[in-house]
Amino acid sequence: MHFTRPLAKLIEEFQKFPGVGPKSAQRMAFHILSLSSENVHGLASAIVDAKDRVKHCSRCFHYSAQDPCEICASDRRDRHTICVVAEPRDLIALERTREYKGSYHVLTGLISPMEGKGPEQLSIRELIHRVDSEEVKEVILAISPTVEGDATVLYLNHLLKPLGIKVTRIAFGLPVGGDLEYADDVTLSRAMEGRREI
Amino acid sequence: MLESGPKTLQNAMQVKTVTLSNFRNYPDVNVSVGSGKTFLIGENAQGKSNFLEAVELVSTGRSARASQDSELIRWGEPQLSVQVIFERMGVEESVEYRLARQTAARPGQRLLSRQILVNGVSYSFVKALLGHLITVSFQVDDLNLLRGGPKYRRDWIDGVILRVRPTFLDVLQSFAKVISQRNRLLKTICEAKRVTVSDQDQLLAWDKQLARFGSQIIKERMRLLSELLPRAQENQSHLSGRRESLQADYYFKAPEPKEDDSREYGNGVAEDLPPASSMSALLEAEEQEVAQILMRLLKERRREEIARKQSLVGPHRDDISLTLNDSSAVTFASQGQQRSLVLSLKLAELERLTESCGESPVLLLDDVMAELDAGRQRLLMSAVGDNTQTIITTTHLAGFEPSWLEGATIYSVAAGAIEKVTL
Ligand SMILES: Nc1ncnc2c1ncn2[C@@H]1O[C@H](COP(=O)(O)OP(=O)(O)OP(=O)(O)O)[C@@H](O)[C@H]1O
Ligand SMILES: [Mg+2]
Ligand SMILES: [Zn+2]
Repeated sequence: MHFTRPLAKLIEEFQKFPGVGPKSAQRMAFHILSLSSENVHGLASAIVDAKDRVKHCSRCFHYSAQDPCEICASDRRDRHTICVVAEPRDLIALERTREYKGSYHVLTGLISPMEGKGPEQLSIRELIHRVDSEEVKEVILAISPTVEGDATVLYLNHLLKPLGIKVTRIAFGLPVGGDLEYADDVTLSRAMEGRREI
Repeated sequence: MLESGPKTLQNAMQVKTVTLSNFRNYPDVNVSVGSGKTFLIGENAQGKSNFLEAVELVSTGRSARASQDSELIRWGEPQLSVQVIFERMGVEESVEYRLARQTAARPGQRLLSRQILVNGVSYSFVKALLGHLITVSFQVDDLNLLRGGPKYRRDWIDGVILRVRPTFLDVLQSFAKVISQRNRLLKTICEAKRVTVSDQDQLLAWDKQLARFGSQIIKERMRLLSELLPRAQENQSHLSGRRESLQADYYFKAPEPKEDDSREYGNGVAEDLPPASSMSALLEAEEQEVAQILMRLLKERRREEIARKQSLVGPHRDDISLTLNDSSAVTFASQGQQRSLVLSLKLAELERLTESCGESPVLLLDDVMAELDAGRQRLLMSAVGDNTQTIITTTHLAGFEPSWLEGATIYSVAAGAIEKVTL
């Protein structure tokens, strides 16, 4: 198949997006071409604008156009509890539940030597600093139970324990609607550990 | 059709039909497999092993001989499918494996998409196949259990565990991930030529993970080996006219440094170096204790691990030692003794899987009869009995004891086509 150059380039760019295969990339590119010039310029400037204005909050490393971010700036948030997540999208997932009223800390990734990510590449030093200086009582680790997630939890626990605060990890169980038969061993044993009386 | 109505075996898993489309050298075939013994006869390179490979693929989710899955698709074709309809505990089930080449964005990039269907339900992960069609394969390559490096023995025992308990795959995969991550970290540390406090803390986190998954694997292997051993001993004793006694032990600290050229290195070396811990000592131990031993070994070998940029402690380095009358089976056993020993182990595998399936798994014999003398053929025959479905490949029928051919279904295989033969 042959695409004229600028179109091929656009498809290629879309294909770099996570979860976008060749077919969806093509659909997206054709969609762009079908839009009015005005709409396309609007889209392009939205991309540039978001990239220019959204930064990491200097305190919790969440994405925000203001610093400190909306959550850190709010006086209705409990500052004695920090919930640690790997990525901003995890924070957003937790916020959606409206259950949690404490503050957050985004690690900006997990420890993964294969991707060149060690503690120095993450916001771990800043987390320890916050725990030291902000009268934190509890740190909740909301980190998924993958091999990299577990390594990060073990590493953090090793640093946080000596500081004399409570360190907890959120429980992981079976996904609702998930097939018990194909749940992996690790998930199953965790779900067992975290079981509750009904 | 004028075929004698398929009689059903008692207490045996049974393949009914195998349908291949663009798998290896098969454009399109649909074979009904006999309830007892089915022979596939053909010259070399006609597709006999390919056929068994296809059945194994939907059973274990992987091909033992393909180095890349893309090899499995018939040359020049976009996709393959393998479907097997079989009966398990009297209930008909179907497993299907589809693999398609995907149009890649960049030339040279090879993408495959995989689809698994189990009883009509679609999955994207191979694991869904495990625990349905259970097979046991005998191949000429099985001699590598003795002559090959430790990896053959580890893969063999892991393969048996996976058929007893499919979720073991998660543990194996997590462990493999830990090793890759840890090796990369060791490499980074080695190249930086110094170990920072943060490096040490990070290593500790990976050590704990290695010990956690590693101890699960070690315990699982020891448990299975201890279950296989008495059965294998009985077989070996029988084959040798009660003259030979087989012993096996699980060594969970592989002897150094020759491990890398695993082909050259047999398990005889294990004798030179006392194992850090062995099965006899640890069979009763809790997983926790094994994890602690691993942590200790890791600490002892930290310096060396960094220097060699490799994880040197863990089940990925372990070995199983096999001895006959107290001397190493690799170094001292004759060719005939080695063949008997391999047969004894494989039959133990068959018996163990029969137990966990509640019925006999499907037996796949790839070109192995030529290797067995009359005595070994008879033992195999008596183990198989009339109650195991068996698919046998061979270049010719001469050399088979007549009992093997009674009531057998016979097919000829030529250049990717399979046709029924009446004798
Ligand atoms: N992807 C593929 N597409 C087409 N042909 C293939 C493919 N992969 C392997 N083959 C062919 O399959 C043949 C090998 O088949 P197989 O290994 O089943 O032989 P066999 O009948 O078991 O022979 P032998 O008696 O020597 O063991 C080879 O000729 C090889 O070229
Ligand atoms: Mg062959
Ligand atoms: Zn913030």
